[in-house]
Amino acid sequence: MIMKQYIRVYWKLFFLNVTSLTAYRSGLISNLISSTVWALFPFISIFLLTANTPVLFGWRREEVIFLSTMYAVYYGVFQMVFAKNFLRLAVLINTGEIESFFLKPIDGQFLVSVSRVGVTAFVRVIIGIGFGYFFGKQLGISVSFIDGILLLIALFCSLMLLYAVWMNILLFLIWNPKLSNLVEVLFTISGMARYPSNMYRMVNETLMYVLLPLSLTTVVPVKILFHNISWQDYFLLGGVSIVLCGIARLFWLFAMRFYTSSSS
Amino acid sequence: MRYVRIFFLNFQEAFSERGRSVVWFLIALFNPLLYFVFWYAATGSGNHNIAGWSIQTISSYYFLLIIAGSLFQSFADEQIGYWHIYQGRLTNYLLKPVSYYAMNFISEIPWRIIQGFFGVIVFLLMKLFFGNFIVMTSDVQTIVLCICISFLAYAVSYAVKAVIGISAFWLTDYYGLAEGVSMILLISGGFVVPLRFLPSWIEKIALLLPFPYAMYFPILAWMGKLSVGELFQVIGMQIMWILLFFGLFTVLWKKGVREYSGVSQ
Repeated sequence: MIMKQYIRVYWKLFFLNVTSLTAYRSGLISNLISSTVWALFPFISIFLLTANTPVLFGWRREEVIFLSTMYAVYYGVFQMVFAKNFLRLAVLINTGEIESFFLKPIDGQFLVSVSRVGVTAFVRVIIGIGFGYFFGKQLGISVSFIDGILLLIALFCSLMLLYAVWMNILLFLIWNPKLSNLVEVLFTISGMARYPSNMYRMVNETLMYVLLPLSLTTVVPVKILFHNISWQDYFLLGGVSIVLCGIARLFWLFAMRFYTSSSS
Repeated sequence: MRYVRIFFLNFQEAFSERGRSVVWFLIALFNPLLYFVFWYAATGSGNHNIAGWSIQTISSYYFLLIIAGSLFQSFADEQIGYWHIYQGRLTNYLLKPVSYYAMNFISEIPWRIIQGFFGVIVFLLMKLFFGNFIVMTSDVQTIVLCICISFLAYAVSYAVKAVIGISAFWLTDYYGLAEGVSMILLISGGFVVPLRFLPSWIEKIALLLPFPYAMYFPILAWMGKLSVGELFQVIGMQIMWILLFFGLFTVLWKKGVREYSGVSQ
């Protein structure tokens, strides 16, 4: 029953966002161009980086590019559902305006997390799927119905894991509201998931473990499609996302006790 | 004298917001480090060369990119396009007895100095711990020319970004254009890979653009990879791009101010 109510609210919010986006045509075109540019950039950068190196950290060039496609798909969904809200959360904390979200008869964290929808980010998802299909064919990847279901579950876990990482870091702004530009750093850090975890291991084992949650978000879905996944991988991705989401919820409740509502 | 005052007022503001500057600097830090990690792993922990560059040359390039990214890279497009034109605050500046171009140019320098300072600290730490990974010029004549090139690199970056910023007179929401140019800047400016590593046709196109003169060539100059003749050639090209974009800015500004309504979006 409660779930149904939340879905209805989200649906309403989604249409409100579409309406507000289409109200300004230049804004819509600008957003579409911007989304297309950033959808293409990970592929272009990987193409350029791998131009001189056919094999990287035990991965073939096409496999590394395929990893980028997986990143583009789930990060595109993240941009659509959450990114704009995190940008606004940083501003709301800085200006001391979150309380309006607590006055609504719905969970504050839910509303803060999803009320803005980056509608044009669907371009990223489509471009990601397009490249994924192309390189998947080149690599001879076949996807069964079960693979498809497992892939969707893994991508959902990846999405929630990234959400939890962002929320856990951004909540520190409650104590340092002026650092609202921290959210821009998170965009940069999230890009680290585009590369295989072996890359970090070759430099430093500790670095690999620090970045492990981010690496899992792309590596596990790709392993499903390459048919070399183990049950440990499923449990690791599922477990880490559940634990981090739980921490994000507890941290949200804890941090809000220190929210003073005063603008910096 | 008024520009000196503008500089110091902005320096005070930038210094009071040093926490934010640290966070901005982190962005300039993470990307080059990530690419360095990529090449370090790709060269088998530095055991073989890529396009004739050893791991020492590659690491020097990316470590210097940390400083260059925070010191030379202007963000005037956001200041002009979003804060002044889109938000309708340009009216205040139109009434002031200063050149709008020069005022924005000087206003941003303190932010570049503070963020560049963090870059220098990180670079010195890198040099301390990974000294054998960093190659830099020690020739006095080259260093003097490098300082000139560095200042002109900021001026090139500013000139290009200022023109993108005033496109908001016509586009209002100029972000689409800005993001498109940002991608070209990242590739042709050498942010992703040194231009030498690019396929030759992309390298040739990139060299026709102003962006390598704002980032790539200044880094090569500090690495000591350019002869004195080449350094003067870079300075000449930088001055050419600055004049070209300043001319473009002047023409667009005269037309754009007539379009400006002063109404925020």
